[in-house]
Amino acid sequence: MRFPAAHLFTLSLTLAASPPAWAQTGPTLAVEDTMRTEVEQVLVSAPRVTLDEILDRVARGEARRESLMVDQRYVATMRMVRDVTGRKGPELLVESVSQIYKKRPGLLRVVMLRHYEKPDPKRKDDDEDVETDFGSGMGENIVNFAFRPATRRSYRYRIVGRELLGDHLIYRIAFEPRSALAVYEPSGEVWVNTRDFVIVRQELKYKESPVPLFLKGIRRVTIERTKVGDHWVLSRVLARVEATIPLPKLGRSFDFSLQYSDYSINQGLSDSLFTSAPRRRGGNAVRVGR
Amino acid sequence: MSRVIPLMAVALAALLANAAPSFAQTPAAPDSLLDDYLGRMRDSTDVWFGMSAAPLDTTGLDSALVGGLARGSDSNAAARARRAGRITFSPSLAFTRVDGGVVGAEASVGSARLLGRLNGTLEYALAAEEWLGGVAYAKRWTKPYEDGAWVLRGSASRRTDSFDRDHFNPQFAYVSAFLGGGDRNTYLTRTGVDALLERLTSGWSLFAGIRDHAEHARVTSTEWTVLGVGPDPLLNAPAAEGRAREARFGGRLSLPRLPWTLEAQHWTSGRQLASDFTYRRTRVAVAGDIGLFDRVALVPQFEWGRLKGDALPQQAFYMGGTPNLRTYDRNERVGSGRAVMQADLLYVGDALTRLGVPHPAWLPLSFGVFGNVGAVWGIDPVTGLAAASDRAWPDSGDWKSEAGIMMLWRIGVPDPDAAVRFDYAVPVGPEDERVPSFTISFQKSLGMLRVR
Repeated sequence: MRFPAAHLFTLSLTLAASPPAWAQTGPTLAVEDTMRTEVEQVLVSAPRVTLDEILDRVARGEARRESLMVDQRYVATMRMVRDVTGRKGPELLVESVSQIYKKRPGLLRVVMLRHYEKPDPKRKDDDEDVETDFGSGMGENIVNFAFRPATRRSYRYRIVGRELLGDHLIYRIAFEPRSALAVYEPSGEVWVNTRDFVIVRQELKYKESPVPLFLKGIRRVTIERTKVGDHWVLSRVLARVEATIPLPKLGRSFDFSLQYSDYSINQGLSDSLFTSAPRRRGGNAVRVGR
Repeated sequence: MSRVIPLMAVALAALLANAAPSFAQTPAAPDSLLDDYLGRMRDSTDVWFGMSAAPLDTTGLDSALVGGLARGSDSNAAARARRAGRITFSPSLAFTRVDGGVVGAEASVGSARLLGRLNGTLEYALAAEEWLGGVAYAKRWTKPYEDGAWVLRGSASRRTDSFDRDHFNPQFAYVSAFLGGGDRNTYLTRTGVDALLERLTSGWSLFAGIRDHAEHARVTSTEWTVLGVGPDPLLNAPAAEGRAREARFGGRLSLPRLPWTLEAQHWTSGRQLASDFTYRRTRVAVAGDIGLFDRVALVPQFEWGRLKGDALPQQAFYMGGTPNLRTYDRNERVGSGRAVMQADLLYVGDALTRLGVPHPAWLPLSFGVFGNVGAVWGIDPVTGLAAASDRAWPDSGDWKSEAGIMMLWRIGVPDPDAAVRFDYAVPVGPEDERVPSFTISFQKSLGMLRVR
């Protein structure tokens, strides 16, 4: 059988111009609808992992996460923004960017890269209003404070959800202070990746202001981790605070944020990196606004 | 045929060209689903926080880093060095009927977490015409990756102390004495040295300490107050004078999975420590809170204390006022033993918001009721002062009860659970000398717990 060349050419153009639906949505499987069968339902029963066991595994997972890190290098950005809810619109008050080097068992070096503070014509001294203090540990207590073995007794936990994402099972666990009086302490929700039982995200809330005389409340605190190589590390801490009275410089509402980026982990930082003595205060930093 | 093959090839190529993306699409990588999931939440956070969550502008950071490393800069070390060397000054003010107005200054240098914090105070008591003050040192040791700390405190001082070793709120007493003379604490002077070593963890703490003080009685030296009314009481009862060398031990334990905290303290002094006094003083307290329903909490507290040996007024147990039984005046009752049970039932949180009552955010009020039972024993029937007693528990007739209503204004300063408390208490039980009382106090929620 011979195809007329012109017909074949027309067919090829047609196919090229309007591809079949299966080509756009992926392979279509043939459906066999001429045969039908039913199998008996089988009830599968297995003990579900208990909340206590999950909490134990989270504590172990967090400890393991921490133990796997020998050194860290990252960029930390601290930022304060005022008037985040008022009519004026948000205004950057402070931004401080630092390069952080950490190495076990307690080595720490912080190189300030940039420091901006909103200029204050009334100020004559050169002191920084906000000083960020970094610790040498890699435990990220701000993420797992409610899940450490030592603090487990202080909180009550419940599972509020499970999400299956590919072969990742994410547990959402809510926690709140066990003490009925501790309405000013944070409660919240964490997202736990059950592959390594590490907390990957946390949302905190405060039922009542911890300092009602000055703070109307802490509206929201979000803590995020990101994966760098095989390690989950802190990537952001964001908090919004509302004041009862306009606070000097901060106004009636302000945000506080910490961002951690550009991570390198277990790259074999040399001890000599940590032996440098400080030469002068903020000597190398890019200083803006003063 | 030679023309067919190229055309078929074109057609096939065209088919493949359109189909290729679909065939090439492998199932999404498991991690990418997680990344998408977290990414969506991250995006939502970005929108909510706006400028605060904006990405970092990295312009110029690389060169700043190169420069910083070359210069040997370490801003953290510099900040620690600044903190270690920073001297802070603050005024020191007090007022009691034995000292009159006390004016002075306090200076601190260093940090407890670094080489230690050194604190010096120099004060002058205007009415008593005496110099007071001293130096204190504190050092705190913590290790990375370890829950807990060791704390060492030491001081050498000459100071005015209250007889009541368990419940003394100096700031509140000074203000009350200054304004209207309403300070029912009794005072003595202690001159000497004190040292304490503590082990602190999140679940428990232990301490051991020793002190060597010369203890002197004091007399009232001023009747002046802002409002012109004299001090109440006017007289300051005399302390037993002598050299007190004392060892003390104690600790605190948060019971696992239970809402209770237990604490115990023991003080001992005797000839073997070359002390002029011989006594054993023990105090135990238990406190907790039980959530009942919808922010209603029951707060039971219990305290027991006993003094054996010399029944010194400065070691005795006092009862009356806001720390225990409000229908007694502050420190009205004294003995060599004390047992108190308190139970508060209160709405935790801002009740006005719950009731829909408009009010400023700085005025969160909560309300509740309370009942207290307490007793002191080991009382000299003639003088009314503490006397040695073999009893470890009060007789049934020693117990006094009261009930009342309260309003709490939680201000959150200096601690989140610090509140101004307004109470109206009425005596319960057989009629006695007590009358209903209205009191204002500055309290923390579990006031019986004194050990940190």
